Amino acid sequence: MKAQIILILLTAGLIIPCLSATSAWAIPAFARQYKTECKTCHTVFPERNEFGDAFEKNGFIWPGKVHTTPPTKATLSPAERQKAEAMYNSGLPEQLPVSLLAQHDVTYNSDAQPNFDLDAETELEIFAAGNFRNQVGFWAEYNFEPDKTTGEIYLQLQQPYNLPFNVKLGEFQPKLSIWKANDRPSLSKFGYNGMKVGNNDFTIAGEQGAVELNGVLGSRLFVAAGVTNGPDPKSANNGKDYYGHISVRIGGTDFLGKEPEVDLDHDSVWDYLTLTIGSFGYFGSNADGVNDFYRAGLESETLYKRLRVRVSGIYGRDDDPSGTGANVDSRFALAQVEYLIGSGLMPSMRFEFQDIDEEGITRRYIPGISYALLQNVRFAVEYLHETTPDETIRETTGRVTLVF
Amino acid sequence: MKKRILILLTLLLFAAGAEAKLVVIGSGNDTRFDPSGFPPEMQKAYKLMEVKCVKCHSLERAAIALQTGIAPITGGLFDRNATRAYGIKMLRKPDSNMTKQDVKIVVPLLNYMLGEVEH
Repeated sequence: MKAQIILILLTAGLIIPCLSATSAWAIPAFARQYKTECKTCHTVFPERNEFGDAFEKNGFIWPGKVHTTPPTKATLSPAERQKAEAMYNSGLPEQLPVSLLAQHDVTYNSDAQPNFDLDAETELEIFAAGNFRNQVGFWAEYNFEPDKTTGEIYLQLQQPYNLPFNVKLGEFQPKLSIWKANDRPSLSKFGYNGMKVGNNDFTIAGEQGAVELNGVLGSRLFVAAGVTNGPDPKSANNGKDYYGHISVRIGGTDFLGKEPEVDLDHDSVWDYLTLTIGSFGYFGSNADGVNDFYRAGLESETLYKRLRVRVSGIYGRDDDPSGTGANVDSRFALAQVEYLIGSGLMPSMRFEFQDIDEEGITRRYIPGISYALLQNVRFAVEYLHETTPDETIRETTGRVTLVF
Repeated sequence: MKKRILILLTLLLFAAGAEAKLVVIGSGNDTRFDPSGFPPEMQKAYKLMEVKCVKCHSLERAAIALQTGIAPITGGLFDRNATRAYGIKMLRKPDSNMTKQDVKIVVPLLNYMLGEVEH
């Protein structure tokens, strides 16, 4: 505990001078680095918009921005220019690319004690992210909650040696779904991201030690393939898991962050319509090789002006996830609709259907609303109505989140 | 003598014409352009630009892009191709309140202002 407090103080000591050194107040690392708003990449954070998606795919390198010389401004004095050049040559970012996320939850559940809990969950997360000289993107996060510690930590080499693909390595969520686990306005993560079958530790959003090759082909096709150590790090299983992802975007901002051509004289439904379709497969083995399993998914996202509709379907099979010798099939379906009102109010509605052999069917109805008071301060309320074969859960969660 | 004064005045007029007409006033969120030297239709367009663009960002961003030819965030070229691309980008932003008609007015204004900087 004492070590954590010292770590927090040290972190604050490092960050505060960085904040005061610039006028870029109260905005996270990317926004500080590129001197732009959170809304450049997000609708209501942490959900990404099309450009944010391209930025993430591009290894946190601003699409199209390639500096072969130090990015010095014409207005800089010779001394300032020299300093900027030295920073560029060292490969270090000029500002410490660190951000903090803090959030607190309040819940109401008439079946729980206390039913109105003002202290449901508090979280502080630190993350560093950015790129080194537009060649290597990086991400590292640490959650101060005792049971969570590190999250994703990885590097992505952008087309090393002019190869047509990027190389991502570290501990990260394998690229399966077209949405990252935090790419949503709602509080609860998409159910499939945490769904486990029997004793199989695999979850779609679980971080794993992995190596992935990915890249954008043309500008509207994204492919990724990787190998991981498997979801259970304690397993003596020496085998590796494999996965692949392919997604295509029709209309809208492409995967390189480029806007579509729009005819200003004539209207077309494609002026504002974006359709993204993705598919993935994950093939793994755990329980010392006893349980071979796979997951296959098909997803789509339709964006029209302020309306976004997401649909996902995942099918899986485990040979023997619980050591009983029985095959287990699993099915998951999700549909979510959200609508942006003004610039920061986003109601959403999600329905989830989960069917795991031997465990039964679970249905979830999750209406919610998020409100970004400022671009980096968000309030959200979400109601969860979940029916499982054993119980019905009705819980309302309120959350305040700030990132800076 | 009259002839000399006339020649001098003519030279002064040419000199004024050769000067960049894009005048930027203020800085930061208070950045504005001085449209008094713009043709009437561009003055009208500027009134629209002031209303539409500042909904999301200060005019300083436009001033930097126009004066340096480099878009301040992307670092990309801010030329006549870019003005159209930015117009479309803003049109498609959900909360920008830009219409195609607005883009058709503001993009030529940006091109005109680019031309003024180039003079």
